[in-house]
Amino acid sequence: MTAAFEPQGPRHLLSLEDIGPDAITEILRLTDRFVEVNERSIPRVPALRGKTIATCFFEDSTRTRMSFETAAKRLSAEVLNFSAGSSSLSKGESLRDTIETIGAMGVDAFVVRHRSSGVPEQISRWVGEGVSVLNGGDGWHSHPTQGLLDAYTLVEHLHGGAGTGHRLDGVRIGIVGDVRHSRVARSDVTAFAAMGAQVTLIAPSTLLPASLEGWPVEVTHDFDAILPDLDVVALLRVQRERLADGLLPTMQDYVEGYGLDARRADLMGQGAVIIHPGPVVRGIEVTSEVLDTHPRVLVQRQVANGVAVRMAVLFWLLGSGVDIT
Amino acid sequence: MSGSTQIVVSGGTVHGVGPADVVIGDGVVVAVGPDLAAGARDGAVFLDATGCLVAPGLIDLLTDTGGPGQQERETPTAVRRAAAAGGYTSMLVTSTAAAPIDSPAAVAERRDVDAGPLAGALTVGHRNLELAPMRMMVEAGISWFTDGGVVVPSADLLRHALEYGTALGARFALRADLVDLGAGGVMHEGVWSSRLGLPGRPEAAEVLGVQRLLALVELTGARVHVHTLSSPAAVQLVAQARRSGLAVTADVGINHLLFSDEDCAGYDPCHRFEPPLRPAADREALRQAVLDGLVDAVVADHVPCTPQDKELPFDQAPPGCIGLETTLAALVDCCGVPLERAVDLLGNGPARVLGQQAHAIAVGAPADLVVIDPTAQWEVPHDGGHSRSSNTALVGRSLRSRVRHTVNGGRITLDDTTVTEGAR
Repeated sequence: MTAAFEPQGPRHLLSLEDIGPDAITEILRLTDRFVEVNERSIPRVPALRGKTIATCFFEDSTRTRMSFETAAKRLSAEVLNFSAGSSSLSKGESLRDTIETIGAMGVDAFVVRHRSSGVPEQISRWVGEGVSVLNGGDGWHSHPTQGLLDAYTLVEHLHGGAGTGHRLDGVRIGIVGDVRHSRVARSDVTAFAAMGAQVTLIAPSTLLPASLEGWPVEVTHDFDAILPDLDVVALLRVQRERLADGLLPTMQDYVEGYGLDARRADLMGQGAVIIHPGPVVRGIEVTSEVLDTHPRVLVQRQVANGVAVRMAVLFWLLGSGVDIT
Repeated sequence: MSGSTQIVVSGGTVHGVGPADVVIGDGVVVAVGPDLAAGARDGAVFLDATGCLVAPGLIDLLTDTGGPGQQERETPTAVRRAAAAGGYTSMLVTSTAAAPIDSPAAVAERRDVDAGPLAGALTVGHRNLELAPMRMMVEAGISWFTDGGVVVPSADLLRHALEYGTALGARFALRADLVDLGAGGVMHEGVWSSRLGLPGRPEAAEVLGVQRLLALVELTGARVHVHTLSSPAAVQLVAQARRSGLAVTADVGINHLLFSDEDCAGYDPCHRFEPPLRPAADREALRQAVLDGLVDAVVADHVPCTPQDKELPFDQAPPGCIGLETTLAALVDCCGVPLERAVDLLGNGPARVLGQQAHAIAVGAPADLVVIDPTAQWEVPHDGGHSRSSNTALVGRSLRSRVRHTVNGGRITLDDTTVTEGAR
């Protein structure tokens, strides 16, 4: 590792639309180097020694939180944990008071997850000068590190990594499921499009956003027809609440149209892969049979790359003037 | 200020008259004409109106003054001071779910502290389950009823409220969105709600709501004023109904003329409104509809909220903003409405809605007037001004045209942009 990294651009990672395609490419290139770090016998570098990162999860999450914590620790940063359930929030403390209290402990970055869209952006207006906010998933809006790790996983699968300018040009990706309520879908679309992929949304119309104006996507309601043309099937979770919302007639009706079962898996092209952000609802978006036996399910690579991508993002925001080594 | 002290407003242009001075005594206008300053009595107070428009006092039709238990948001004194600074001399004080005016006792309590006629609750606690005691409230002095911004979901209940109140001679000030289309929506459903991942409410909800309301007006013969239309299509429906002879009037909120749904992109809860901000093209059409005279009034839709409320996530924060101090300047400076039209939309129009015949500066008329400097540039203060609350997206915005003096019932409430003791 040679010259010290000099970051340009935004102080926060609130959404991928916010940072733009050049920054997305830059982060994916950085990710290569942290994938390498993670393969070492001691996967730890001193890059963020002395930095303190607070993970503030106002909504339950296991994997994203563990992934961020692991990433921060492998960069030698200190980690403060905050969970809404066990906190003063349940005693009526306001969001802003909570953030300002944690900030007073001397924090360089907040990783924020919240069930309401926009909370990381609101918090970014309350933190001190020089403090970064990373969106760990907000409402239906954005989950930028998931978008980055999904894009990275596909680039890695196709090219072995992103470092030498590899992209997803011409790769045909179908995002299947509840796009309307999915922050993952929004970030995936931006990340995939930034890397040159052709994205198609595959869902019943009630699970699509009211307007797709400005989205770099095609739309179809015919999963079977498009399956042979796809290089990537990106599955989204479909929650049972959508039945109560009146958006789906029955789960079976959804599964008939959009569930990935063995018959549909056979329609997939040679070499086509399956990704899923987890947690998987087995039997709804995908059958256990396909999930457990299909040769190109990349879910484990997504999880592993999640740590490397989050290391890259933390380093990109906080690693001014230091080497990765 | 004692009633016998003369006030002379000199050097201005009087709305509807031309260059003239105005002399006020005993709470009424006693003379309007050129060069009256020289003949003023000893001890007369002079208000300099040089270069200014002198217009009838502004009237707001939708003001949330807080009410009992709401002192964190607003107080009667603070709202009166804000009104004075904004050029208002009267307000239709609206009952809200937070502080419902839904009993004769509540009417009596609020009548003495609030600065204008009251609009009482249609239903007890605005819970939309049972009608408020409308007869007793009318006997206690109320002539308006409102849904308090919480649209009555049941068409039956709304119909009965309109029938019962109409028989008492009451009038109604109502919002019109249908509540069960896009229920839970926190902004306009469209391009921006889709990008921002926020639940949306389609414009069709307002169109359907207005259609429902107009049908009920026709059915019941009620006299209804529709608040804060945000959809140009809904405005057309109301205008059409009026042409066909229905007794319906309508207003537009200043915020829907100022902002668009794209402004929600920063997730600042000061951009959350009911009904929601519409796309920019709708806002332009709404401005045109206002200029074309399709609505009777523009309202400040003054909704004070605590900082804590507006620091909630966008989808949990209460909607609304304060507006008494900024509405006139924003309408003139940001919405392309000429000053003379603006004072009609904020003064004469609301007066007609309230059934006040002549709202003009003429001899014998009540001395409610406002002096506006069309060239003064000012910045909306960071504390929001005199209101107890500061929730407005206009904080820090520089606006051109400013209220210089306000006279309310013959008392000076704003003197050279400073709120006086008279406003308390």
